[in-house]
Amino acid sequence: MFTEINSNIKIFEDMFKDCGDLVKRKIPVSDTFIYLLYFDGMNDRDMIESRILNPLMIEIRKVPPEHFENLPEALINRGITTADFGEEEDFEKAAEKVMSGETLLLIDGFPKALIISSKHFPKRGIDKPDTEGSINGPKEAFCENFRDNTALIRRRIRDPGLKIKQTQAGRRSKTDIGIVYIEDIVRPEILAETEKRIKQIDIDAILDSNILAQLMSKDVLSPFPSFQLTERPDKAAAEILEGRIVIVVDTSPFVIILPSVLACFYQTSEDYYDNWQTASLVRCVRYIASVIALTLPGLYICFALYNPSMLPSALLMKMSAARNGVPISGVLEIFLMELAFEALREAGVRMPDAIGQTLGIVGGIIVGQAAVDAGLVSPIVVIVVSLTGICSFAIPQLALSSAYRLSKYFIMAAASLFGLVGFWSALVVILIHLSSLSSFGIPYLYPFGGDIKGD
Amino acid sequence: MYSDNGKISVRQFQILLILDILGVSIIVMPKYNALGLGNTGFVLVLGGGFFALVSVFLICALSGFLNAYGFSDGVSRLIGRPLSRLVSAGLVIKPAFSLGSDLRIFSAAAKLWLLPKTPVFIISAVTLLPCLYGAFKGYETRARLGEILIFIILIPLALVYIPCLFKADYSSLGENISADKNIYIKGSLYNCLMFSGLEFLMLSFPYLKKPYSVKPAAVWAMVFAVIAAACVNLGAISLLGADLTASYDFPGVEVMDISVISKGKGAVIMSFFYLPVVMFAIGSIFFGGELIKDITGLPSKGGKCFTAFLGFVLSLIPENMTELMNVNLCFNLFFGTAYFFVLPVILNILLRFKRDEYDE
Repeated sequence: MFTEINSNIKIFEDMFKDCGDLVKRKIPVSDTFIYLLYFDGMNDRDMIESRILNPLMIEIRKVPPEHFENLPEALINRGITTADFGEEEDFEKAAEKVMSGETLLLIDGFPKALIISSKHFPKRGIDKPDTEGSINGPKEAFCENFRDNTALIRRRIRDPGLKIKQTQAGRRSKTDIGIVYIEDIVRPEILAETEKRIKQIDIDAILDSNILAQLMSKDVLSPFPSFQLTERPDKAAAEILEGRIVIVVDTSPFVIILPSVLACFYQTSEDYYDNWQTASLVRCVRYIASVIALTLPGLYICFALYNPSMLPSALLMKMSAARNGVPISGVLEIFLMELAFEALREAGVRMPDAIGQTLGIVGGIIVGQAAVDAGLVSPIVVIVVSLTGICSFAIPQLALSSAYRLSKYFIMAAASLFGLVGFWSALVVILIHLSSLSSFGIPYLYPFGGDIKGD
Repeated sequence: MYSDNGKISVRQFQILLILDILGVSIIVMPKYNALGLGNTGFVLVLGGGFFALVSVFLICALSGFLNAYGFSDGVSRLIGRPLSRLVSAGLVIKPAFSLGSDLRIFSAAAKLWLLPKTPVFIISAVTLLPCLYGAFKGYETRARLGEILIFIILIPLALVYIPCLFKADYSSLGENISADKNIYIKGSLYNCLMFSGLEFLMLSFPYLKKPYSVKPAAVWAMVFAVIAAACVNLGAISLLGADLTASYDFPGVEVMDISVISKGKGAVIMSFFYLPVVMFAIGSIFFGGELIKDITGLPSKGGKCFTAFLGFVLSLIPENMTELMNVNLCFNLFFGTAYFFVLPVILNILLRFKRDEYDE
């Protein structure tokens, strides 16, 4: 920066030309002036008025003129009544700070900018978690504010070993990213790999933690998630205590947990609060539900179309009777029903809560019943599709549930073409794919498949 | 990082060995044991296990050396490059043939019970494609897959055969116990050569994290696999009787008809029968591709595609199961004896002579 204040002002004014939310003010002090710059709406206006403007415009006039021999020193020592401030020599970095919500102060004859911390963004308060509800345990959820989120974690782990390494990503967004871990229990190689992957990101903007997670992922073609996302601070804290790394992204109410293997996606925060017997039972139910969600429509196709003799006679007769008069083939019937279920699910997500529930009732019960009564679909298929849908909801993480949904169609297509041979082939392809995945070097199927302890 | 998709642990090695040995051969084994020694045929499996253990000891003595240099390079250091290429080429053909044989047996069984209207070559192709994908994914992926599949394979096996063992009539099992010694020796040797997964033993040493602790693990795996195979043979022969066992192409599967889960026969066939085929096929294609890369310098993906294609073509050649088993017998006698016994003995002798040069 220049010593002459007008040159500095010109550069900043050029840089922030046409920014309607920019606030700039020249304040006369002694026989010269200082220049104040900040973006409206991103700062604590009360703080700026009481801690910066008031001392600079009123209090400092009470100081005898002989104290202004060294103006910058006088202003720093007597004019700014806040502890959190710094100096910046580089125009770009100073501008970045202003855009992050800091207040910039230029002083004539001083070749640096004073950066005064005054961030105050419009934000949502701490709310209940929307996607990870629980009966037991805390009801707090992360919000979009970076510092609030790190505070929610630090409040739970009051250990000096808890580190929050701050960095930025996104060429234009300059999004704040915090890598949170406990120094003495994290694996250094995983931490180094995390930092490396964040550094390698080259993109205009990171608007949410989901974007960061996808950019950090090595297996971009895989539908299976290699990172967990959570909006619960208690879950994030529990994972950090287990040696994992949590990544907090500014403007996102979800934090990333890594490394995450398949078994992690079946854990919920409630598992920590229930007694171990109940938690184990519920977790087994989730595993069984995911197997059903993945395989049931495929198995139905195999048994109903290719090998009905494998079914017990009573069930076979009931199935045949139920399909009697249905005008479309079994395969088309189940594909159409699955598609209808997907549409219903998608419509329900986009609707407001009250309408969403009504839509579920109308779509699921009334239309489903009407379709069966009209003989367009068989009741067995409705049961299969509904059970598959219910089981997919029992999987705690949406990303994993979506991966299973996608895989289910692959299995259904293979089963439609080659019966049980196709079914097993598709299942084996999925198992091979899962076996080949890893999250930061940890086999994705660990502890079921993948021996990381070595010999 | 914990893993770079390259090396496997001894536990994973053990599981793979069990799965490779417990391949589809044990489905057809009871037929030939019943033909050879009637109701006493199951004893031949135990004899085969003894021969297989001898082979395991011979091969495991090379574990450190082959781990350090890899198979092709290691063998070429001992017997020279031209001969080593010949040996490697044989080891491409042997697993490719075993792959073709297993594929044909599986496809024929699947056609019989599951897809009667689908041509065998389509069933073979559908079975082979996931295996090719698995081979592309690397050896550690195969090991991880084995850790999952061993439960899916062994649980139905136990569910089907353990009840058989309780239902069976053992009164006539000793009727041919005093048969000619030659039948015992030949039958046992043939049973040993049917454990086609043994050929992967030498090839898998370079992928082990700790090759020196491999011998007890391999012996344990071998004993487990032999006991399981003996139970299948014992169950089939004692339940069906020697004559009926010999008349079926797949007596190991027919036993399921009499077993407690007769209704789910097809599913059991698929879970038990399909998965070992997949594991074995992935191994064959993977090692075939790696050996072709060593011999010709071609990329391993091309070699893997070639091995898979070779196995596919070989699976289509025999006209029926009898012809397939006859070809299998001749092929196993030649290549099996060469790779299970002759080659390991030669390599061990040469290594002993060159011990100073290659300090293990």
